[in-house]
Amino acid sequence: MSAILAAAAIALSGAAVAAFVPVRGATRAAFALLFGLGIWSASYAAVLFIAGNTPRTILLKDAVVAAAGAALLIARRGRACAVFNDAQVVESAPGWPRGAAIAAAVIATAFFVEHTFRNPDGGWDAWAIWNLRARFLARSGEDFRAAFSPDLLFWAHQDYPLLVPGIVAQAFLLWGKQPLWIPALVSYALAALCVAVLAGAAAELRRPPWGGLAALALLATPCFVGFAANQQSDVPVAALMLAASALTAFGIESRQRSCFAVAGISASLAAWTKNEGGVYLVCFALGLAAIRWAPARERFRSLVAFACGAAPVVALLIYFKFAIAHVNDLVSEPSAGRLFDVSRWGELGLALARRAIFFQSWGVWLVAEVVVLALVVPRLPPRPAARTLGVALVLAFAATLPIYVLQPHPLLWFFRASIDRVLIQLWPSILLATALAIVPRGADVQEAGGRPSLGELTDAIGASPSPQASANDR
Amino acid sequence: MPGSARVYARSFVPLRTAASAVAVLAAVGIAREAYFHLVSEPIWELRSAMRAPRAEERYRAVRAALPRSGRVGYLSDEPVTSRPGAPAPDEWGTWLYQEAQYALAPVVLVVGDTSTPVVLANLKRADRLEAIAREHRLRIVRRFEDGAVALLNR
Repeated sequence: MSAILAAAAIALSGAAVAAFVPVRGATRAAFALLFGLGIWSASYAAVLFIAGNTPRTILLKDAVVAAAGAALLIARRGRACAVFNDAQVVESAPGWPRGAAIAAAVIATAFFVEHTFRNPDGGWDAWAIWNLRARFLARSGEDFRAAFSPDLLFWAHQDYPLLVPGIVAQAFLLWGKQPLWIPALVSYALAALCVAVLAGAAAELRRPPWGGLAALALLATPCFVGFAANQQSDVPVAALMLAASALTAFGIESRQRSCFAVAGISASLAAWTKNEGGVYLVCFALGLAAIRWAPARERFRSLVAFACGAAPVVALLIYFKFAIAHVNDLVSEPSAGRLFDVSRWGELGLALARRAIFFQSWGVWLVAEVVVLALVVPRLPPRPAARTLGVALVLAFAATLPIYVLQPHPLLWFFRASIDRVLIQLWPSILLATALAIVPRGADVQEAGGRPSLGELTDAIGASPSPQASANDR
Repeated sequence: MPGSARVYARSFVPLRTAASAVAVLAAVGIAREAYFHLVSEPIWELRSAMRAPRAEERYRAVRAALPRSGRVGYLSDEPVTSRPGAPAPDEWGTWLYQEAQYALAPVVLVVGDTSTPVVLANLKRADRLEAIAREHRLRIVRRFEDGAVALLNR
C-alpha cells in the first residue's frame, strides 16, 4: 500500500509539473520522473520537520502529494501546454548520433555496474554524508534530529540539504531494510534522467541529432559515470540544473511564462540537493534579469514566475538552514585575510588552468569547450537563450571561486577534492548552452556550410520584431 | 533579441562539423573511461574485490551490543580531524571515525567524550587498547575484532 502510494505521489506530482513543460513523449516522461522524485523528497523533508518521522505521517504525505498532483492534472485537462517543437521535420540529418549515444549509454551502464560492484557503499562522500544521512533518517524514527547533531564531526556535513538522502531514506523505509543497491539504483536513475533530459531538451530546442550529440558528449565525459557510481549528489544537482536550464531556454524561445515557473521549481530542487544549488539558483535569476532577451516588462514577469516556482522549496531550505542545520564548515572560520590574499588567488588560478587539461577526469572536453567559447561562439550571431544560460553559468562558476579562497581547508587539497564535482554540476547545462549557441532554432538549418539564412540575417541586424515568434506562441 | 547591427559571416556550426568533433572527443573520453574501469580498476580482479570484506563488517558485532540510539563517546589511537583548517597528519583516524559512524547510525559517536555510559574505542592497532583505557581511566567491557574495537565504561 505505502509503495503504491509512493509511486503514485512520484508519478502524479511529476506529471503535474511536467504538464507545463512544452515537450512530448519520452522527454516529458524524463522531466516528470525527475520532478516527481524531487517533490517526493522535498515533501518528505517538510513533513519530517512539521509532523515528525512516523510511517503514518509519511503515508499521509504521499496521499496528499498524489491527490494534489492528480487534481492539478485534472484541472489542466484540455489545456495542454503548447508543444515547443511541433514541426514535422523530414530529417536529412544522419541518424548515427542517436545510435552512438545509445551505445555510449550501454557502455556507461556497464562501467557504472563495475564500479558499483567494486564500491557498493559508493565513494567517500556518499557513505560519509549522503547515505549516512539516509541511514539516520530511516533508522532513527522520531529521533531523526540525531542526523543533524552538532556532536557529529563536521565531516558529516549536517547542513547539507536532503534531496538525495530523502529519496534513499524513503526507499529504505518502503523496503524495510537498508540494502546497498537502493542508493546505487537511485544514483543510476538520476544520472540516466540527466542524460535523457539533455538529449530530449537539445533535440526539442534544436533538432534530434543535436540531442544525440549532447547525450554522447555527456556520457563520454570520463568523470560523469564515476561520480554517478560514487553515489554523490553532484550528478543529481547537474540533472536539476540542466532541467532548469532547458526550461529557461524553452521559456525564452517560446515565450511561455509557465516554463520559467517550472525552471524555478527545478532550480529550487537543485538548491535542496546541495548548497551549491542555492548559489546557482540566484545566478539563474540574475541571468534572466541581466540579459535583454525580451522587453523589460516581460523579463520581470518571467523573473516573478521563476521566483514563485522556486518559493516553496526555498522556504523549506531557509527553514532547514535556520532551524535544523548547523554552520557550514566552509564558512565556519571566515577570514577577510584569506579573501584578499593575492597568493591564494594566484594558486587558485594556476590550479584552474591545470584542471582544464586534466585528462583523467575530463578527457579533452574542457579544452574543446574553451576553444569553442573563445573561437567559435564569438563569430556567430548571439542567441538569447544561449546568452542567458551562458551568463548564468559563468556567474554560477565564478561564484564558487571566492569560496575556494575563503574556506579554511588547505586550498589545493580542497580544490582537488571538489573542483571536478563543481564542474560536473554545471557540465550538462554547459553542453546544452553550447548547442543553443552554435545552432539556431528551427529545422531550416541544413548542411549549407553554415552560411546564414535570410531569417538569421534579419535576426542579426535586428529587423525581426520577435525573432522567436512562431506557431508555438499560442 | 534584436539590437546588434553586426552581420555575421557564419550563422551556425554545421551539424556534420559538430558531429565529427564530438565523435573524436567522445572516442577519447570513452577510451579514458575504459582504461579506468578496466585497467586502473583491473577488471580481472573484480570478483576478488567483490568478495573482500566491507569496512562496515568490522562494526557488525559491536552494533548489536550498543544502544539503538543516543550519544556514545568515541576514542581512537589515531588523531581525528575535528576542525576545518587543522587537519590530522593523515586520514586514518578520520576514516575510522566516519566508517564507524556510517555503520552505527543512528547512534551519534562523540569524539573524546568519556562521560557517556558506554564509550567506543576504535583503534588502528589493537595493542594500544589497554593504554587508551588507562589514559582515560576507563575499563574494558567487551572486545571485538581482536581488541581493535572495544566497549569501555567507568
